[in-house]
Amino acid sequence: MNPRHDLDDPNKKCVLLLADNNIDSEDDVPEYYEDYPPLPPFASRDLPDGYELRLQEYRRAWSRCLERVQSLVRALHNPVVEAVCSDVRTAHAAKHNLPGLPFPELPVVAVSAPGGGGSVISDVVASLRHPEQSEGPACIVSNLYPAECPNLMAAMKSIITSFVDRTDEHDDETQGISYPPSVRRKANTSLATYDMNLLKAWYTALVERNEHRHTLVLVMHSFEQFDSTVVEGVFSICSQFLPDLPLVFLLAMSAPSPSGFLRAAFPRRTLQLLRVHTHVAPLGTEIVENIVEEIFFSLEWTPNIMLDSGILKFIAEFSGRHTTSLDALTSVLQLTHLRHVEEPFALFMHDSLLGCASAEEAYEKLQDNSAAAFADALQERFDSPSDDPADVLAAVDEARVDLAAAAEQMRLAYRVLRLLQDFMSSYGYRPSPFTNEDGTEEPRLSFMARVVEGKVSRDVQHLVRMVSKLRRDQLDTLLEKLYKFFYDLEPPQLRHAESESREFIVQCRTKLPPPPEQAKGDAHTNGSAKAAVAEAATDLAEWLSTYLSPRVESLDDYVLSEAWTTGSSPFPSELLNPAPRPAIVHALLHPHAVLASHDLLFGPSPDAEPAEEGERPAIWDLPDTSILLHRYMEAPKKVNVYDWYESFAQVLETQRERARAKAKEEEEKSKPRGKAAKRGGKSPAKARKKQKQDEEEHVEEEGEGNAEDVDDEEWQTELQARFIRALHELDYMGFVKHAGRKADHIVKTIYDVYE
Amino acid sequence: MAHHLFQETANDDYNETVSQLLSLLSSRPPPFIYVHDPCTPRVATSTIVSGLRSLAHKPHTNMTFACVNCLACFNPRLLFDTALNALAGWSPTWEDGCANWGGSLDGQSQRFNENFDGFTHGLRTLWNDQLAGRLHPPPQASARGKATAEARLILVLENAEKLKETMPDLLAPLARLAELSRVDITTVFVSEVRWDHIRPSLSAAPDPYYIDMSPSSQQSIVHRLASSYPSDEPYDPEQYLDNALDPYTYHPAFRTLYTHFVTTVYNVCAVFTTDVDDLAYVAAATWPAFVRPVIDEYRRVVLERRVLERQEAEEAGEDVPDVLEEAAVDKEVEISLAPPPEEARIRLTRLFTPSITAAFEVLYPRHASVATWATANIPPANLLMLPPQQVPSLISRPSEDHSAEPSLRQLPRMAKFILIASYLASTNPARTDMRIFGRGPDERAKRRRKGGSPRKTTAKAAAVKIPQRLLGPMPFPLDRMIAILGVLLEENDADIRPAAPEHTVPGEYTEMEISRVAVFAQVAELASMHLIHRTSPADRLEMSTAYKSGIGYEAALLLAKDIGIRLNDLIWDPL
Repeated sequence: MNPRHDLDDPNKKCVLLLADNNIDSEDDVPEYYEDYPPLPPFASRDLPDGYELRLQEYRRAWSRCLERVQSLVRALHNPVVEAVCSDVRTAHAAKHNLPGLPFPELPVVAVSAPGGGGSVISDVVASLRHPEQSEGPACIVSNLYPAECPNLMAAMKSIITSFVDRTDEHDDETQGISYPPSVRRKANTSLATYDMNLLKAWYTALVERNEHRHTLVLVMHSFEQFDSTVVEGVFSICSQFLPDLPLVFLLAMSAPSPSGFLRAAFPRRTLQLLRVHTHVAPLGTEIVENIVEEIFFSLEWTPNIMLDSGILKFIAEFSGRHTTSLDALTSVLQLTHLRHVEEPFALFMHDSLLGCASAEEAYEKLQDNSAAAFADALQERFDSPSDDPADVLAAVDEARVDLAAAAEQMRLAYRVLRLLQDFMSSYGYRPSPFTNEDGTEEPRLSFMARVVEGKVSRDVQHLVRMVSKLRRDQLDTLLEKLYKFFYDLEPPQLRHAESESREFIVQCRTKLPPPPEQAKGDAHTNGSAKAAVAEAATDLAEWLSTYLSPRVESLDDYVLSEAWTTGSSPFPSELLNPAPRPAIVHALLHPHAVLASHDLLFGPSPDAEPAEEGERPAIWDLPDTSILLHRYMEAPKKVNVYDWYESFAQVLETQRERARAKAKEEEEKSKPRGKAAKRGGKSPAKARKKQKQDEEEHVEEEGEGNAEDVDDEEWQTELQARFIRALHELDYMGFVKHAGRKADHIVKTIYDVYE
Repeated sequence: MAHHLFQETANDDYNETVSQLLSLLSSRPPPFIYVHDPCTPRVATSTIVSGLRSLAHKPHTNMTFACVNCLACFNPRLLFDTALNALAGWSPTWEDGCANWGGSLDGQSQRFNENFDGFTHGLRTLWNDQLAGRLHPPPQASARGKATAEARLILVLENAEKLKETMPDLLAPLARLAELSRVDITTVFVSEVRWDHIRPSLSAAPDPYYIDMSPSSQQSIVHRLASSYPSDEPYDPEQYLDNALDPYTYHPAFRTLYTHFVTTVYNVCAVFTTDVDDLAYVAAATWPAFVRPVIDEYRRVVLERRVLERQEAEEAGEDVPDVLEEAAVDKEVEISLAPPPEEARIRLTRLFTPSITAAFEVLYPRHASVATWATANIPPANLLMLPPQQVPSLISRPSEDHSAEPSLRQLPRMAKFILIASYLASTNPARTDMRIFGRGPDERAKRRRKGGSPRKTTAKAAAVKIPQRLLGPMPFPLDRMIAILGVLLEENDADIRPAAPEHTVPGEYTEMEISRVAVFAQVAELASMHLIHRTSPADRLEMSTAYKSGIGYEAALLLAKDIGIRLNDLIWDPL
């Protein structure tokens, strides 16, 4: 249907306006649509269906990683969720009602999960609705959103109807609660739907049916967005019905200090009515560090790809500077996974089957002509001269196993290093040579980044030196910790593999002399005891040095490592944190540069004009809007619109002359050709420009001869039209502020722009 | 006549006034009474209502009353429904569709809540029913007495000042209710503001019969507080076990001690407030700790005596029963409980006075709840046995977050910069921005002024001018704040952020940073946390949004210290 008809339809709230409404068949698709490539880069050494196959690999890897993130986050939030649930359940317990209180208080449980931690509240709600056996009967939970509460009456109405409109049919929510059947209420002669007495009557019926006083929980989502006067009214009304209706308000907030927010937003008169319990979900860089550590440096869980230092540094920077929200971290990890599968060899992430069902098919596929480039590139990575696909794929398998083993050893070394660092900090020693001057520790993410880069030899040396100087009791504690670490290793095969380490530690412990209080000796035995401690410490230090050093090498040196590590290029932070405004200004000021880089990114298009390196196109060569913006940038704070038009017209005049000269030249050079022969520019701007040029030619042709005046008049009209259109485009993009008093001026909204 | 109702309470001006009102209502009341209680309107209403309740139960009266809270009844229909249902003693039930009281004349429910006219009809029906004795009779009222006495309705409107906001059109009709409905009804407004403040214009409403409640005396407040002491007969110690309190905390034996205790609470807190509710709150939180040493002492005495008895029995070679059995001890403790002697009471009072002050400081602004305070402040065992020098501090504040400081410091770095930029934008006048933040192309790192203010000489002349810091934050457009943010970042952050070789012109990197999505998202996030306040309406998209800083000087200083900004150099009016 034509959108114009849609616009006339008063019942339609939303109309989709297609950029080009007249695309009916495939033939009509404008050519610039093809700018978006069917294949990403690296196409030269890719399998024909490599892109789709790698996306499948991505899905597999990412869903596994996401599951891990979610389970970690859940484990992190679990204590808070449990505390909140217990607060809600016991909100009306006798323990809160001390005798002598002037009036019952309305229980309010405020949960703050800054940084978009909506999962805390959903976990709480789920746990309240479906409690474990031991936790007692379910609560009746209703949700309230800011949009439902523009005023007090609407708020009361949504609160009350959210409870009384329940029926037993909602199986997932009933949880053994039998709701009173809905009865027909007369609109006029029964209680209004915003009358709390209605809820009271319903609750009385509910208690009679179930013989239990279920707690009524009201979850107020994004509590900060509620109108505070409405909430005040709701609180004061609900508190008057308190002993009869066991209401509990659960406030889902994002303010870091819930009680601080409540005190700032509500007067004491309202706070007096409430009994506030506050909970804050854990937050901060430490949480981000923990999660990254538990995903990529955990011994129990093996990640599909290993992060490189660039991404770890980006996470450290982004979480410290912008947001510590877990959603942002998840996005970073997802983008990392997505970017990783751009690499053709990422196809080997999980196996070497190339998307086939069996190894034989994979061999055939690799021998296929279409896979020749891929096979060649793959073969080049190995030293083996054999071009038998079975050999090549076996080598890939071997590389995968090698890298996985190396990565596991690296994680093990990381854990040992962390154990040593923690041990040193617990005694007040510097855990790392990179500790800042002011005593703050280096962020753990930076340390992780150095570990994957293989640049921790200084750390190892530092720790080893510290270990060699430990006292007897400290050494004993450290050995005990190390033994416990190696003894508790998961999975069992790893524990098994590390039996030598355990043996060494046991030996080392036996070498230690007995503690001084047991040793009753003279100076001589004391001296020999000291020497024995020093010897044991040196032994341990040497062992640690030889144990750690080979394990903290960079993984990049392994064959085909790009299939399982993310490479060291920086994270595409523009995707997560773009700067739209400067990008628009830049694109308008330098449209050709943007088009050229677009071509560069998305493959060369056959008839693209070669980008002139370092050479700026003349201003008359730009689209109208760009010309106008260039002139705008040169103006002072206010722009006189007439002057602006004049300067614009001048440029267009040049443009027209150039076009005429060019046309003449061409006319002389060759025979005249069809008007639309050169049509087919790549971008809409270009297409439009060419179209304009054609029109100009058209105008010219018509105008040539003796009708100069008519031509001039038409040209003036065209100039004005083009000016107005460009002006409105700028206005639409927010570059124009209308000056109130000076009607012929506009105010600039951007000033100095770095070019 | 109604004096005996208040035999329990002390006889002071406050109760005198209430009993006068009740006498008036039980004889020939004026149609419109205005009770003004500036201090304790809630107490006034509850006293009036309890008085009316006992009046209504007396024989030979045919009086029904309803108390409507204008806070809860925010709309005429609610007010009419609530008033009529309450007057008729009707409670709607779910099974019959929550129908309102509809009169009993024709069995057909009628609509009385459509408008004020309907309401007066409802009142007339109700009155007629009452005259005919058809209403639900109050349980103990004698039907014969009812029929002979003349019927009277009383409508008490609590928080009447709310009517001015929610239903200003109803003020005058409610004041003239008797006249308009032609029934014997008295409207009583109870409010904390004076009638002059809510009176409809042009004398639309008649002048009420004014009753002004004077503030309660200390004696009466103490008495009221003391009367909230639970009076269970017989005493059931089990019921307080849930509260993690000692089971004998509210034993009747301590009633006199409690009276002394609330007097102490009054004396300590009266400097700050004499609101009965607040005092009751503090008393409820501190009493368990106050009485605990006394109970401990009794328990110790009983145990010691029992141990002694056992020793004697053992020496005498008798059969020794298990005298330390818990239930038996408890029983004996309960029997032995008695008010403590005068000197112990004085010592307790001296010990606990500081903790009552501390409790007030925490509980009055509701930094903690009663139960939290009570459980956190249980005194050490056998406190009374300790010599005075060894008594430990009896105050332990519950670990709630009293200040927002730690949570502010947890904010990401950019959020701190934005908060400081918004604080500066809200405190400095816009015309001074050029002088404070303006930098020439070469003096990127140069500050305009270091240390002291050059305008010190003019300080005397401008002494009358109040610094903006004290006047509260000024709104500022977002663009201005972002520009200030740019200067702050360029001077304090440029060396720390990761290298970006693609930016060559000085300042270009910062320019990119301040136009990134994350910065604007952070502004929105901070606005949702109310650390900055949006002052422009949310539905205006075409204009630049305006904000106001939501943090104070101390918080800004703290944040500035965290990220190494010298805040005082950038404030136009430094301290």
